[in-house]
Amino acid sequence: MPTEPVIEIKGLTKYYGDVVGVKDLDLEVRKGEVFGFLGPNGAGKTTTIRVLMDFIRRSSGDVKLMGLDPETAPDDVQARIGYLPGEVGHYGGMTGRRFLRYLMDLRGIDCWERVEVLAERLDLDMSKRVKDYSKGNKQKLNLVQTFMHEPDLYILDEPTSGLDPLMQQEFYKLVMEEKTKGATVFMSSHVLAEVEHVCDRVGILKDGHMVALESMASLKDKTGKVLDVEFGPGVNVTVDMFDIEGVRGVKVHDHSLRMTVIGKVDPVIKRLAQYDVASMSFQPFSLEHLFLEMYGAEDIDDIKMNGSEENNGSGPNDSKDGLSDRDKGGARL
Amino acid sequence: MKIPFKLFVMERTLREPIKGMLIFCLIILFIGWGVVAMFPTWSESQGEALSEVGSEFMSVKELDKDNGTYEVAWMSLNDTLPFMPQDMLLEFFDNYSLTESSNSSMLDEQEVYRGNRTQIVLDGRTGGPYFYQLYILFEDPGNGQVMQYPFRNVSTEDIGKKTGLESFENLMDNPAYKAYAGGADIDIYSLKGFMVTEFFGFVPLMVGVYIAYLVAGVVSKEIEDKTADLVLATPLSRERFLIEKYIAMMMLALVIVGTMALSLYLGVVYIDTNEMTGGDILASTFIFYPLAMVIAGYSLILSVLFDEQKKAMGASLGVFLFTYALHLGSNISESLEGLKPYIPYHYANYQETLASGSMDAGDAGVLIAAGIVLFGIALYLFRKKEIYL
Repeated sequence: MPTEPVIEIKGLTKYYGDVVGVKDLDLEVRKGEVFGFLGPNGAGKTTTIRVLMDFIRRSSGDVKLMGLDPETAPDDVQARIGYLPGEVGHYGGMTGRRFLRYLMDLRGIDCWERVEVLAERLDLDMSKRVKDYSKGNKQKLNLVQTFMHEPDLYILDEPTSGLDPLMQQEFYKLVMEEKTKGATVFMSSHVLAEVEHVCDRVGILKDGHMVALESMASLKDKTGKVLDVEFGPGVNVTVDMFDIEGVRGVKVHDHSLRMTVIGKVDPVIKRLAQYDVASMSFQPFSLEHLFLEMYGAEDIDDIKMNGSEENNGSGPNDSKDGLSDRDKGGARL
Repeated sequence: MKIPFKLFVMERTLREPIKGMLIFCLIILFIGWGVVAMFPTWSESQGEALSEVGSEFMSVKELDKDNGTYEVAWMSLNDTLPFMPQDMLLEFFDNYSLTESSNSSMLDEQEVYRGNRTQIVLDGRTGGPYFYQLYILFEDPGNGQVMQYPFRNVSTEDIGKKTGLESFENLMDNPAYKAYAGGADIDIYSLKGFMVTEFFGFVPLMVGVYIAYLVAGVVSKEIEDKTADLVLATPLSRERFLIEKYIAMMMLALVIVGTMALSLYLGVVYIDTNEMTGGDILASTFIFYPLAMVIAGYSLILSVLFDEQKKAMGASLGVFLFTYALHLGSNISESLEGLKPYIPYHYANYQETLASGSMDAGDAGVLIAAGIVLFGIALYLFRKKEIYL
C-alpha cells in the first residue's frame, strides 16, 4: 500500500546563469522510503538537495516537502529535516558538546538525551574541541547532528563518502532504524555500492536529467559483480573464453580479462578452474558499470562520468567477497 | 515550530572575537589615557619649542582693512628666553617699546606703545606699508638708566607670511589642519585641541577599521567555513540569523565606544583637569556610535554579498577608507565640498562636539537612519541569497 508522498518534485529546473543545474526533474519519494539519489559529480544532485533545503532557489518547477514549499515555509520544513551537507563546516574552537548543543538550541528543542545516546553509540568524545578531532570523529559528530532530533525526513548529501567501513555500517544501521520508525531518507551518492545496502529505490541523475528510476530489486537483476582475472603466461586469452549465460561485457587486456557477472557465479568459477589463473578479484558493481550496462555506452567518456577518475568504479573495501583489490580492480575500461 | 527565545546566534557571534576585542579595547584604553596623560608635558614643551623660533616670533594681523586696523603681537620674553631665571626676566625684560615708521629704514620712527603687553591694536593705518620695531626696555643695573635694546621688527608687508607664533595661528587656516579640526574653533594649545589631533585624529579611524573588519566576517566566514549550512538548516530563519548577528556587532561597537570614553575619562582623572568634562567626553565619543551603525551596515551588506571572508573584509575596509579619504578631501578641497552630505564621517563632527560638549541630534539621526536602511538592504539581500557549498 503506497504511503503519502514526503518529497514531491515536479519539473524542477535550476539554472546557474546559462548553466543547467537540474532540468525538468520529476521525483516522488514516499513516507518510509529510503531513496538513493545517484549520479556522477556535477550531475545536479547537490543542486537538487540545496533547493530542497532552500539554500538556493529554483528557476522553475514545484517542490513540496511534507506538503510544504521549502521556499515559502523554509523554517517549518527545516524543523522536520535532518540534514547532512556534502561538506560539513565546524566551529573549530567549540567542543563537540558545545557544537551539538548549539545546533540543538537553534532548533529550539531539547533532545540532549538522544545526543548522548548517539555519541555513546558512535563512541564520540564530546569533550574535545572540534578542531582537535580526527576525521573519523568529525564524521561521527556530523552523524549525531543529523540524527539527533529524530526528524521525519533525512536529506543526506553523499553521507557515506569518506566514511570508514565501520562507520559506514553504523550509518546503515541508523538509517534502517529511522526507516523502521517511519522516517523517510533521501540520500545522494556517486557510488552505487554505497547505497545499495539500504536503498529501496534509486534514481540516477546525469547532466541535470533523471535518466533512470528503479527499485533496488529490479536494479539488482540488471547488475552484478565485476570480475578481473589475470591468467598465467601460457594461457591464450580470448574474448569468448567465458561465453556463459549471465556473463557480459568481456574485455581483454594483455593477459587479463574483465567481465560482468550478472547470473550465477558458479559456472564462471568452474570455467576459471580450467585455466592457469595468476590472480583475480571480485568487485561490487559500480555506477559506471551500471551506465555501461544500462545504456550500452561504449566507453566511460560517452556518458561523461565526471567523477569516474577519482571513484573509478570500485566500491569501498567492504566487499562481502573479501576479494576486492582496489589498485588492481580499478575500473579503467 | 518553536522559536528559541534566547539569542544563541548573537551569543555565539559575541564569543568568537572576544580575545581580539579585549586586546583592541586595552589598546584604546591605553592610547586614550596615555594621550591625555601626555598633555601637560606636551603643553610645556610647546612653550619651549616656540621660544626657539626666536627671531620669527613677531606678527602683524590685519583686523579691518577699511579702517586700517592692525594688531601687532609678539611673544613675551618670558616665553622666549626660558633659560633666564624667571625673576630676572620680569625685572629686566618684560617691558617693551614699539615704534612705527612708514619707511623700512625706521629713520622717522615714532613710539606707538610702551608697556608690558604683548599685543596691541592700531587704528587708522590706511595706506602703508608700516614698519614696526620692538625694543626691550630695561634698567641698567649700574646707573639705573632705562636702556632700550632693539629686538625684533615686522611690517604690514609680512602679513600672511608664516612666521613664529603666527605660524601656529595660520595653522588653523591651513586646509590640512582644517580637515582635522573640522572647522571647529578649537585652540590647538588646549587639551581639547590636543585631543582632536592626537586622539580623535586616528582612534576613530582604528575603530572604524576594526568594526568594518569584524562585521565583514560575520556572514561571509560562516558561508566560507560552511557552518552556515548547518545553522541555516535549522528552523532558525535567515532574518533572525542576520538580526542576531547585527545586534551582536552593535553590542561590540557599544563596548568599543564606551572604552573610548572610559580611556579619556581615566586620562582626565589622572591629570586632574577640568578642561574636558565628562559630558564633553561622552558626547565626543558616543557620536561615533551612529557612525558605527553605518559602517556595520555596509560591511554587513558586503559580508552577505561575498562568500569569502577575505574578499568581504577587503571590500569593507576599502569602502571605509574611501569614505574617510573623501571626508578629509571634502574638508580640504572646495570642489569636493558638495559631497559632504553623502559622507558618513561628516555627520560625526567630533571637533564641534568636543568644542560644544553636546551632540548634534540631527547628525546622529541621519546616521542612525542610514544605518537602519543599510541593515534593511543587508536583510533583503541575505533573504534572497543563494548559498552554495
